[in-house]
Amino acid sequence: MNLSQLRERYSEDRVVNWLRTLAEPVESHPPETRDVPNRFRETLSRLRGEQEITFVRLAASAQLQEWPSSEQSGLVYMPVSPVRAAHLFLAYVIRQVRISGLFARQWPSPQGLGDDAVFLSLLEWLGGLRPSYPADQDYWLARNRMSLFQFRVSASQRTVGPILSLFMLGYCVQEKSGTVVSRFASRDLVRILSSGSLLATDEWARSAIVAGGIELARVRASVVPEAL
Amino acid sequence: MHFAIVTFNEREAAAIEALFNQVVARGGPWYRRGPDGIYAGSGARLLVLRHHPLNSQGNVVAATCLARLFKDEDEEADFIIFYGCAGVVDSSYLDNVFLVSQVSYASLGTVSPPSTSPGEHITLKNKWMCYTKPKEVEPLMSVTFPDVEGSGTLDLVAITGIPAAHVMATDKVVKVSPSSSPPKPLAYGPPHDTYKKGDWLYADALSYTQNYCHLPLLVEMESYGIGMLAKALKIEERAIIIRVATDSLVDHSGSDQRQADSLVRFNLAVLAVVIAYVNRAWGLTS
Repeated sequence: MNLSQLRERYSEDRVVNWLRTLAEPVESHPPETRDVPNRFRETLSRLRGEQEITFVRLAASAQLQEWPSSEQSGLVYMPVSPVRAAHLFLAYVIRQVRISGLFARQWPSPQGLGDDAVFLSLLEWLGGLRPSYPADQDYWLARNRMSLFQFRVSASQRTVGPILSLFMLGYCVQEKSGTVVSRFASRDLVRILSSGSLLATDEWARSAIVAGGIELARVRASVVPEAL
Repeated sequence: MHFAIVTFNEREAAAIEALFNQVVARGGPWYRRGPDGIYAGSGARLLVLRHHPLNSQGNVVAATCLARLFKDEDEEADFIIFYGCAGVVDSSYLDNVFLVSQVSYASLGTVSPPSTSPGEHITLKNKWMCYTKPKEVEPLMSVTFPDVEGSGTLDLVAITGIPAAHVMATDKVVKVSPSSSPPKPLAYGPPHDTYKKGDWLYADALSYTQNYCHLPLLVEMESYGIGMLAKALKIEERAIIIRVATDSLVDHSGSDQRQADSLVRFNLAVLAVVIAYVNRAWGLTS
Protein backbone atom coordinates (compact mmCIF):
# COMPACT_ATOMS: atom_id res chain seq x y z
CA MET A 1 0.00 0.00 0.00
CA ASN A 2 1.54 3.27 -1.00
CA LEU A 3 1.17 6.51 0.86
CA SER A 4 -1.67 7.98 -1.15
CA GLN A 5 -3.70 4.77 -0.78
CA LEU A 6 -3.07 4.79 2.96
CA ARG A 7 -4.08 8.42 3.27
CA GLU A 8 -7.15 7.87 1.16
CA ARG A 9 -8.31 4.98 3.32
CA TYR A 10 -7.44 6.73 6.57
CA SER A 11 -8.38 10.28 5.70
CA GLU A 12 -7.83 13.10 8.14
CA ASP A 13 -11.58 13.32 8.82
CA ARG A 14 -11.92 9.62 9.45
CA VAL A 15 -8.97 9.51 11.84
CA VAL A 16 -10.02 12.62 13.76
CA ASN A 17 -13.58 11.32 14.13
CA TRP A 18 -12.31 7.99 15.35
CA LEU A 19 -9.90 9.52 17.84
CA ARG A 20 -12.69 11.64 19.27
CA THR A 21 -15.13 8.75 19.39
CA LEU A 22 -13.03 7.04 22.02
CA ALA A 23 -13.81 9.63 24.61
CA GLU A 24 -17.53 9.70 23.95
CA PRO A 25 -19.93 7.82 26.17
CA VAL A 26 -21.00 4.39 25.03
CA GLU A 27 -24.61 5.48 24.60
CA SER A 28 -23.63 7.94 21.88
CA HIS A 29 -23.33 5.08 19.40
CA PRO A 30 -26.92 4.02 18.82
CA PRO A 31 -26.31 1.97 15.66
CA GLU A 32 -23.94 -0.31 17.56
CA THR A 33 -26.03 -0.67 20.69
CA ARG A 34 -28.80 -2.22 18.60
CA ASP A 35 -26.44 -5.09 17.95
CA VAL A 36 -25.27 -5.51 21.53
CA PRO A 37 -27.13 -8.72 22.43
CA ASN A 38 -25.70 -10.46 19.38
CA ARG A 39 -22.21 -9.25 20.16
CA PHE A 40 -22.57 -10.46 23.75
CA ARG A 41 -23.70 -13.86 22.57
CA GLU A 42 -20.87 -14.13 20.07
CA THR A 43 -18.25 -13.25 22.65
CA LEU A 44 -19.67 -15.52 25.34
CA SER A 45 -20.11 -18.36 22.91
CA ARG A 46 -16.49 -18.04 21.84
CA LEU A 47 -15.26 -17.87 25.43
CA ARG A 48 -17.27 -20.96 26.21
CA GLY A 49 -16.44 -22.92 23.08
CA GLU A 50 -12.69 -22.27 23.09
CA GLN A 51 -12.09 -23.39 26.67
CA GLU A 52 -10.97 -26.96 26.07
CA ILE A 53 -8.61 -26.21 23.22
CA THR A 54 -7.22 -23.13 24.95
CA PHE A 55 -6.58 -24.92 28.22
CA VAL A 56 -4.79 -27.74 26.41
CA ARG A 57 -2.69 -25.23 24.47
CA LEU A 58 -1.71 -23.24 27.54
CA ALA A 59 -1.12 -26.30 29.71
CA ALA A 60 1.23 -27.95 27.23
CA SER A 61 4.93 -27.73 27.85
CA ALA A 62 7.50 -28.33 25.14
CA GLN A 63 8.54 -31.58 26.78
CA LEU A 64 7.65 -34.65 24.78
CA GLN A 65 7.39 -38.27 25.75
CA GLU A 66 6.42 -41.55 24.11
CA TRP A 67 2.97 -42.85 24.92
CA PRO A 68 3.33 -45.14 27.92
CA SER A 69 0.99 -47.71 26.44
CA SER A 70 2.37 -49.99 23.78
CA GLU A 71 -1.00 -49.96 22.02
CA GLN A 72 -0.61 -46.30 21.10
CA SER A 73 2.22 -44.77 19.17
CA GLY A 74 3.61 -41.31 18.69
CA LEU A 75 4.66 -38.53 21.00
CA VAL A 76 2.63 -36.76 23.64
CA TYR A 77 3.13 -33.45 25.38
CA MET A 78 3.68 -33.17 29.10
CA PRO A 79 1.75 -30.51 30.99
CA VAL A 80 3.24 -27.57 32.82
CA SER A 81 2.57 -27.42 36.56
CA PRO A 82 -1.11 -27.38 37.56
CA VAL A 83 -0.67 -23.97 39.19
CA ARG A 84 0.87 -22.48 36.04
CA ALA A 85 -1.81 -24.01 33.82
CA ALA A 86 -4.56 -22.51 35.99
CA HIS A 87 -2.82 -19.15 36.09
CA LEU A 88 -2.30 -19.00 32.32
CA PHE A 89 -5.86 -20.01 31.60
CA LEU A 90 -7.50 -17.45 33.86
CA ALA A 91 -5.15 -14.71 32.65
CA TYR A 92 -6.29 -15.64 29.14
CA VAL A 93 -9.96 -15.41 30.11
CA ILE A 94 -9.52 -12.03 31.78
CA ARG A 95 -7.65 -10.70 28.76
CA GLN A 96 -10.27 -12.01 26.35
CA VAL A 97 -12.97 -10.31 28.37
CA ARG A 98 -11.03 -7.06 28.24
CA ILE A 99 -10.14 -7.09 24.55
CA SER A 100 -13.58 -8.29 23.56
CA GLY A 101 -14.95 -5.16 25.20
CA LEU A 102 -17.66 -7.18 26.92
CA PHE A 103 -17.95 -4.67 29.72
CA ALA A 104 -17.18 -1.67 27.53
CA ARG A 105 -20.62 -1.68 25.95
CA GLN A 106 -24.07 -1.10 27.23
CA TRP A 107 -25.46 -4.09 29.01
CA PRO A 108 -28.35 -5.95 27.51
CA SER A 109 -31.16 -6.89 29.81
CA PRO A 110 -30.53 -10.27 31.50
CA GLN A 111 -33.95 -11.35 30.26
CA GLY A 112 -33.55 -13.15 27.03
CA LEU A 113 -29.91 -13.98 27.61
CA GLY A 114 -30.81 -17.46 28.91
CA ASP A 115 -27.72 -19.46 29.94
CA ASP A 116 -25.53 -16.53 28.99
CA ALA A 117 -26.88 -14.64 31.98
CA VAL A 118 -25.05 -17.05 34.34
CA PHE A 119 -21.85 -16.82 32.32
CA LEU A 120 -22.01 -13.04 32.16
CA SER A 121 -22.62 -12.86 35.91
CA LEU A 122 -19.67 -15.18 36.57
CA LEU A 123 -17.40 -12.94 34.51
CA GLU A 124 -18.79 -9.93 36.32
CA TRP A 125 -17.98 -11.54 39.65
CA LEU A 126 -14.53 -12.54 38.45
CA GLY A 127 -13.87 -8.96 37.43
CA GLY A 128 -14.95 -7.62 40.80
CA LEU A 129 -18.10 -6.08 39.34
CA ARG A 130 -20.51 -8.03 41.55
CA PRO A 131 -20.13 -9.26 45.11
CA SER A 132 -21.14 -12.89 44.76
CA TYR A 133 -20.89 -15.56 42.12
CA PRO A 134 -24.07 -16.57 40.27
CA ALA A 135 -26.18 -19.59 41.17
CA ASP A 136 -25.19 -21.16 44.49
CA GLN A 137 -22.52 -23.42 45.92
CA ASP A 138 -24.56 -26.58 45.30
CA TYR A 139 -24.91 -25.65 41.63
CA TRP A 140 -21.13 -25.74 41.19
CA LEU A 141 -20.44 -28.61 43.59
CA ALA A 142 -22.94 -30.79 41.73
CA ARG A 143 -20.23 -31.20 39.14
CA ASN A 144 -18.42 -33.42 41.66
CA ARG A 145 -21.09 -36.08 41.48
CA MET A 146 -21.44 -36.31 37.74
CA SER A 147 -20.04 -38.86 35.41
CA LEU A 148 -18.80 -37.66 32.06
CA PHE A 149 -22.09 -38.28 30.33
CA GLN A 150 -24.06 -36.45 33.01
CA PHE A 151 -21.62 -33.58 32.90
CA ARG A 152 -21.94 -33.18 29.16
CA VAL A 153 -25.55 -32.20 29.57
CA SER A 154 -25.14 -30.50 32.95
CA ALA A 155 -26.09 -26.95 33.71
CA SER A 156 -22.64 -25.67 34.62
CA GLN A 157 -21.05 -27.09 31.47
CA ARG A 158 -23.81 -25.57 29.36
CA THR A 159 -23.61 -22.17 30.98
CA VAL A 160 -19.94 -21.44 31.61
CA GLY A 161 -18.03 -24.11 29.71
CA PRO A 162 -15.96 -27.10 30.78
CA ILE A 163 -12.86 -25.54 32.33
CA LEU A 164 -14.47 -22.64 34.16
CA SER A 165 -17.06 -25.07 35.46
CA LEU A 166 -14.27 -27.24 36.92
CA PHE A 167 -12.47 -24.23 38.34
CA MET A 168 -15.68 -23.05 40.02
CA LEU A 169 -15.90 -26.52 41.50
CA GLY A 170 -12.35 -26.03 42.80
CA TYR A 171 -13.36 -22.66 44.23
CA CYS A 172 -16.39 -24.05 46.04
CA VAL A 173 -14.48 -27.08 47.33
CA GLN A 174 -12.24 -24.68 49.17
CA GLU A 175 -15.14 -22.64 50.43
CA LYS A 176 -16.95 -25.65 51.84
CA SER A 177 -14.89 -27.55 54.34
CA GLY A 178 -15.03 -31.31 54.16
CA THR A 179 -15.37 -31.45 50.37
CA VAL A 180 -12.75 -32.60 47.92
CA VAL A 181 -12.49 -32.74 44.15
CA SER A 182 -14.01 -36.01 43.00
CA ARG A 183 -12.55 -38.58 40.68
CA PHE A 184 -15.38 -37.83 38.22
CA ALA A 185 -14.15 -34.28 37.85
CA SER A 186 -10.43 -35.03 37.67
CA ARG A 187 -10.95 -37.82 35.15
CA ASP A 188 -12.89 -35.48 32.92
CA LEU A 189 -10.02 -33.01 32.92
CA VAL A 190 -7.59 -35.84 32.11
CA ARG A 191 -9.83 -36.76 29.18
CA ILE A 192 -9.90 -33.15 27.95
CA LEU A 193 -6.11 -32.99 28.08
CA SER A 194 -5.56 -36.34 26.41
CA SER A 195 -7.80 -35.26 23.53
CA GLY A 196 -5.07 -32.72 22.84
CA SER A 197 -2.25 -35.30 23.18
CA LEU A 198 -1.41 -33.96 26.60
CA LEU A 199 -0.59 -36.63 29.13
CA ALA A 200 -1.76 -35.86 32.67
CA THR A 201 -2.46 -38.00 35.70
CA ASP A 202 -5.57 -37.92 37.86
CA GLU A 203 -3.47 -36.28 40.54
CA TRP A 204 -2.31 -33.55 38.16
CA ALA A 205 -5.91 -32.89 37.12
CA ARG A 206 -7.14 -32.75 40.72
CA SER A 207 -4.35 -30.30 41.58
CA ALA A 208 -5.22 -28.19 38.54
CA ILE A 209 -8.88 -27.97 39.56
CA VAL A 210 -7.90 -26.91 43.08
CA ALA A 211 -5.32 -24.49 41.65
CA GLY A 212 -8.04 -23.10 39.37
CA GLY A 213 -10.18 -22.38 42.43
CA ILE A 214 -7.33 -20.66 44.21
CA GLU A 215 -6.49 -18.68 41.09
CA LEU A 216 -10.13 -17.60 40.72
CA ALA A 217 -9.97 -16.17 44.24
CA ARG A 218 -6.64 -14.47 43.53
CA VAL A 219 -7.84 -12.95 40.26
CA ARG A 220 -11.02 -11.75 41.89
CA ALA A 221 -9.07 -10.09 44.64
CA SER A 222 -6.58 -8.43 42.30
CA VAL A 223 -8.52 -7.27 39.23
CA VAL A 224 -9.38 -3.61 39.22
CA PRO A 225 -13.05 -3.50 38.16
CA GLU A 226 -12.51 -0.39 36.04
CA ALA A 227 -9.92 -2.12 33.88
CA LEU A 228 -12.47 -4.53 32.45
CA MET B 1 -6.77 -1.83 25.90
CA HIS B 2 -3.04 -1.45 25.91
CA PHE B 3 -0.81 -1.45 22.83
CA ALA B 4 2.97 -1.61 23.09
CA ILE B 5 4.68 -0.18 20.01
CA VAL B 6 8.28 -1.26 19.53
CA THR B 7 10.84 0.39 17.26
CA PHE B 8 14.43 -0.63 16.53
CA ASN B 9 16.30 2.52 15.51
CA GLU B 10 16.08 6.23 16.14
CA ARG B 11 14.35 7.02 12.84
CA GLU B 12 11.57 4.55 13.57
CA ALA B 13 11.36 5.88 17.11
CA ALA B 14 11.00 9.43 15.79
CA ALA B 15 8.16 8.29 13.52
CA ILE B 16 6.20 6.91 16.49
CA GLU B 17 6.91 9.99 18.56
CA ALA B 18 5.56 12.04 15.63
CA LEU B 19 2.45 9.83 15.53
CA PHE B 20 1.81 10.41 19.22
CA ASN B 21 2.20 14.16 18.75
CA GLN B 22 -0.20 14.11 15.80
CA VAL B 23 -2.79 12.12 17.74
CA VAL B 24 -2.64 14.36 20.79
CA ALA B 25 -2.84 17.44 18.56
CA ARG B 26 -5.73 16.17 16.45
CA GLY B 27 -7.72 13.87 18.55
CA GLY B 28 -9.60 15.90 21.10
CA PRO B 29 -9.38 14.21 24.49
CA TRP B 30 -6.06 12.42 24.09
CA TYR B 31 -3.39 12.95 26.68
CA ARG B 32 0.24 12.17 27.32
CA ARG B 33 0.93 9.35 29.77
CA GLY B 34 4.57 9.68 30.74
CA PRO B 35 7.26 10.44 28.20
CA ASP B 36 6.49 7.45 25.95
CA GLY B 37 2.75 7.00 26.13
CA ILE B 38 -0.60 8.51 25.22
CA TYR B 39 -4.10 7.55 26.29
CA ALA B 40 -7.76 8.29 25.74
CA GLY B 41 -10.93 7.33 27.55
CA SER B 42 -11.24 5.70 30.93
CA GLY B 43 -12.43 2.58 32.70
CA ALA B 44 -13.50 -0.19 30.36
CA ARG B 45 -12.93 2.15 27.43
CA LEU B 46 -9.36 3.13 28.29
CA LEU B 47 -6.96 2.96 25.35
CA VAL B 48 -3.23 3.27 26.01
CA LEU B 49 -0.47 3.37 23.40
CA ARG B 50 3.04 3.01 24.81
CA HIS B 51 6.23 3.29 22.80
CA HIS B 52 9.24 1.07 23.53
CA PRO B 53 12.24 2.39 21.55
CA LEU B 54 14.88 -0.36 21.54
CA ASN B 55 17.61 1.48 19.65
CA SER B 56 19.13 -1.83 18.73
CA GLN B 57 18.51 -4.38 16.04
CA GLY B 58 18.54 -8.07 15.36
CA ASN B 59 16.41 -11.16 15.81
CA VAL B 60 17.78 -11.87 19.27
CA VAL B 61 17.20 -8.34 20.55
CA ALA B 62 13.66 -8.22 19.15
CA ALA B 63 12.84 -11.60 20.66
CA THR B 64 14.26 -10.51 23.99
CA CYS B 65 12.06 -7.43 23.92
CA LEU B 66 9.02 -9.57 23.25
CA ALA B 67 9.98 -11.89 26.09
CA ARG B 68 10.36 -8.96 28.44
CA LEU B 69 6.99 -7.48 27.51
CA PHE B 70 5.22 -10.83 27.76
CA LYS B 71 7.26 -12.52 30.45
CA ASP B 72 4.23 -12.91 32.62
CA GLU B 73 0.58 -13.24 31.70
CA ASP B 74 -0.14 -10.32 34.02
CA GLU B 75 1.73 -7.95 31.72
CA GLU B 76 0.13 -4.75 30.62
CA ALA B 77 0.19 -4.97 26.81
CA ASP B 78 -2.73 -6.66 25.10
CA PHE B 79 -1.03 -6.29 21.72
CA ILE B 80 2.48 -5.46 20.63
CA ILE B 81 3.10 -3.73 17.32
CA PHE B 82 6.60 -3.72 15.84
CA TYR B 83 7.16 -0.82 13.44
CA GLY B 84 10.23 -0.58 11.24
CA CYS B 85 11.83 -0.36 7.86
CA ALA B 86 12.80 -3.20 5.54
CA GLY B 87 14.68 -3.93 2.37
CA VAL B 88 12.60 -4.98 -0.59
CA VAL B 89 13.55 -7.44 -3.30
CA ASP B 90 11.25 -6.07 -6.00
CA SER B 91 11.96 -2.35 -6.18
CA SER B 92 8.43 -1.61 -7.42
CA TYR B 93 7.37 -2.13 -3.80
CA LEU B 94 9.63 0.65 -2.53
CA ASP B 95 7.79 3.22 -0.41
CA ASN B 96 4.96 0.87 0.40
CA VAL B 97 3.85 -0.39 3.77
CA PHE B 98 3.18 -4.05 4.60
CA LEU B 99 1.91 -6.30 7.35
CA VAL B 100 4.22 -9.25 7.92
CA SER B 101 2.19 -12.39 7.38
CA GLN B 102 4.93 -15.03 7.24
CA VAL B 103 8.59 -15.09 8.09
CA SER B 104 11.39 -17.51 7.30
CA TYR B 105 15.02 -17.47 8.37
CA ALA B 106 18.14 -17.41 6.22
CA SER B 107 21.21 -16.98 8.34
CA LEU B 108 22.80 -20.23 9.43
CA GLY B 109 25.81 -20.89 7.31
CA THR B 110 29.53 -20.75 6.87
CA VAL B 111 32.16 -18.04 6.67
CA SER B 112 35.25 -19.27 4.90
CA PRO B 113 38.31 -17.79 3.24
CA PRO B 114 37.73 -17.33 -0.48
CA SER B 115 39.84 -19.39 -2.84
CA THR B 116 41.17 -16.53 -4.91
CA SER B 117 40.78 -12.98 -3.60
CA PRO B 118 41.29 -11.70 -0.06
CA GLY B 119 38.25 -11.31 2.20
CA GLU B 120 35.63 -13.75 3.39
CA HIS B 121 33.11 -15.95 1.63
CA ILE B 122 29.69 -16.33 3.25
CA THR B 123 27.26 -19.09 2.39
CA LEU B 124 24.05 -20.49 3.86
CA LYS B 125 23.44 -24.12 4.73
CA ASN B 126 20.35 -24.96 2.68
CA LYS B 127 19.37 -27.80 5.05
CA TRP B 128 17.92 -25.17 7.42
CA MET B 129 15.72 -23.69 4.69
CA CYS B 130 14.42 -26.64 2.71
CA TYR B 131 14.29 -30.42 2.64
CA THR B 132 17.58 -31.84 1.46
CA LYS B 133 19.04 -35.13 0.37
CA PRO B 134 20.76 -36.59 2.26
CA LYS B 135 18.48 -35.45 5.07
CA GLU B 136 20.25 -34.36 8.23
CA VAL B 137 17.77 -32.10 9.96
CA GLU B 138 14.26 -30.71 9.66
CA PRO B 139 14.37 -27.27 8.03
CA LEU B 140 13.55 -24.36 10.32
CA MET B 141 9.84 -23.73 10.29
CA SER B 142 8.49 -20.47 8.99
CA VAL B 143 6.15 -18.54 11.26
CA THR B 144 2.71 -17.21 10.34
CA PHE B 145 0.92 -14.38 12.11
CA PRO B 146 -2.71 -15.52 12.13
CA ASP B 147 -4.52 -12.17 12.38
CA VAL B 148 -2.82 -10.74 9.29
CA GLU B 149 -4.55 -12.75 6.60
CA GLY B 150 -7.59 -13.90 8.53
CA SER B 151 -6.60 -17.30 9.91
CA GLY B 152 -7.00 -15.89 13.43
CA THR B 153 -9.91 -13.89 14.76
CA LEU B 154 -9.27 -10.86 12.56
CA ASP B 155 -8.26 -10.22 8.95
CA LEU B 156 -6.04 -7.17 9.22
CA VAL B 157 -5.26 -7.12 5.49
CA ALA B 158 -8.95 -6.94 4.60
CA ILE B 159 -9.78 -4.42 7.33
CA THR B 160 -6.86 -2.04 6.88
CA GLY B 161 -6.13 -2.54 3.18
CA ILE B 162 -2.43 -2.88 4.03
CA PRO B 163 -1.11 -5.86 2.05
CA ALA B 164 0.65 -8.90 3.48
CA ALA B 165 4.34 -9.59 2.94
CA HIS B 166 6.71 -12.47 3.50
CA VAL B 167 9.90 -11.63 5.35
CA MET B 168 13.13 -13.47 4.82
CA ALA B 169 14.84 -12.61 8.06
CA THR B 170 18.58 -12.66 8.32
CA ASP B 171 21.29 -11.21 10.52
CA LYS B 172 23.09 -9.08 8.00
CA VAL B 173 22.25 -6.23 5.68
CA VAL B 174 21.80 -7.98 2.35
CA LYS B 175 22.92 -6.05 -0.73
CA VAL B 176 22.53 -8.68 -3.41
CA SER B 177 19.60 -9.45 -5.66
CA PRO B 178 18.04 -12.89 -6.14
CA SER B 179 19.76 -15.25 -8.53
CA SER B 180 18.20 -15.32 -11.98
CA SER B 181 16.47 -18.64 -11.33
CA PRO B 182 15.72 -20.49 -8.10
CA PRO B 183 17.76 -23.56 -7.12
CA LYS B 184 16.46 -26.62 -8.91
CA PRO B 185 15.08 -29.42 -6.75
CA LEU B 186 16.39 -32.97 -6.98
CA ALA B 187 12.82 -34.18 -6.61
CA TYR B 188 9.48 -32.42 -6.61
CA GLY B 189 6.74 -32.80 -4.01
CA PRO B 190 4.30 -33.64 -2.69
CA PRO B 191 4.88 -33.69 0.14
CA HIS B 192 7.67 -31.20 -0.59
CA ASP B 193 10.47 -30.47 -3.03
CA THR B 194 13.86 -31.91 -2.07
CA TYR B 195 17.17 -30.23 -2.87
CA LYS B 196 20.72 -31.43 -2.93
CA LYS B 197 22.25 -30.70 0.45
CA GLY B 198 24.83 -27.98 0.19
CA ASP B 199 25.70 -24.33 0.52
CA TRP B 200 23.62 -21.57 -1.02
CA LEU B 201 24.48 -17.97 -1.65
CA TYR B 202 22.13 -15.32 -0.31
CA ALA B 203 21.10 -14.77 -3.93
CA ASP B 204 19.96 -18.42 -4.08
CA ALA B 205 18.10 -18.13 -0.78
CA LEU B 206 16.31 -15.01 -2.00
CA SER B 207 15.37 -16.63 -5.26
CA TYR B 208 14.21 -19.80 -3.51
CA THR B 209 12.08 -17.83 -1.05
CA GLN B 210 10.65 -15.57 -3.73
CA ASN B 211 9.71 -18.64 -5.73
CA TYR B 212 7.67 -20.33 -3.02
CA CYS B 213 6.21 -17.50 -0.94
CA HIS B 214 3.96 -15.73 -3.52
CA LEU B 215 3.85 -12.54 -1.46
CA PRO B 216 5.97 -9.39 -1.72
CA LEU B 217 9.34 -10.36 -0.25
CA LEU B 218 11.01 -8.18 2.36
CA VAL B 219 14.37 -8.65 4.04
CA GLU B 220 15.07 -7.48 7.56
CA MET B 221 16.67 -8.65 10.78
CA GLU B 222 14.00 -8.99 13.46
CA SER B 223 10.83 -10.76 12.40
CA TYR B 224 12.07 -14.32 12.79
CA GLY B 225 13.11 -13.72 16.38
CA ILE B 226 9.75 -12.09 17.05
CA GLY B 227 7.81 -14.85 15.32
CA MET B 228 9.57 -17.78 16.94
CA LEU B 229 9.30 -16.33 20.41
CA ALA B 230 5.67 -15.35 19.87
CA LYS B 231 5.02 -18.95 18.90
CA ALA B 232 6.82 -20.27 21.96
CA LEU B 233 4.89 -17.89 24.21
CA LYS B 234 1.65 -18.72 22.37
CA ILE B 235 0.97 -15.09 21.59
CA GLU B 236 1.24 -15.02 17.79
CA GLU B 237 -2.18 -13.38 17.60
CA ARG B 238 -1.00 -10.55 19.83
CA ALA B 239 2.16 -9.62 17.91
CA ILE B 240 1.86 -7.56 14.72
CA ILE B 241 4.76 -6.46 12.54
CA ILE B 242 4.44 -3.46 10.21
CA ARG B 243 7.25 -2.80 7.76
CA VAL B 244 7.84 0.12 5.45
CA ALA B 245 9.85 -0.83 2.37
CA THR B 246 12.44 1.93 2.52
CA ASP B 247 15.38 0.33 0.73
CA SER B 248 15.96 -1.68 -2.38
CA LEU B 249 18.36 -4.55 -1.70
CA VAL B 250 20.77 -3.78 -4.48
CA ASP B 251 20.51 -0.02 -4.57
CA HIS B 252 20.99 1.26 -1.02
CA SER B 253 21.24 4.79 -2.28
CA GLY B 254 18.46 6.08 -0.01
CA SER B 255 19.70 8.49 2.61
CA ASP B 256 18.91 8.17 6.29
CA GLN B 257 16.81 11.31 5.97
CA ARG B 258 14.73 9.84 3.16
CA GLN B 259 14.19 6.73 5.25
CA ALA B 260 13.23 8.84 8.25
CA ASP B 261 10.73 10.87 6.22
CA SER B 262 9.18 7.74 4.81
CA LEU B 263 8.74 6.20 8.27
CA VAL B 264 7.02 9.35 9.52
CA ARG B 265 4.66 9.46 6.55
CA PHE B 266 3.66 5.82 6.99
CA ASN B 267 3.18 5.95 10.76
CA LEU B 268 -0.56 6.13 10.06
CA ALA B 269 -0.34 2.38 9.42
CA VAL B 270 0.24 1.83 13.14
CA LEU B 271 -2.95 3.70 13.90
CA ALA B 272 -4.77 1.66 11.26
CA VAL B 273 -3.93 -1.55 13.12
CA VAL B 274 -4.92 -0.04 16.46
CA ILE B 275 -8.23 1.09 14.97
CA ALA B 276 -8.92 -2.43 13.68
CA TYR B 277 -8.47 -4.05 17.09
CA VAL B 278 -10.26 -1.36 19.04
CA ASN B 279 -13.22 -1.30 16.67
CA ARG B 280 -13.66 -5.03 17.03
CA ALA B 281 -13.34 -4.91 20.80
CA TRP B 282 -15.65 -2.02 21.43
CA GLY B 283 -17.99 -2.36 18.51
CA LEU B 284 -17.06 1.00 17.05
CA THR B 285 -17.35 2.02 13.44
CA SER B 286 -15.05 4.43 11.69
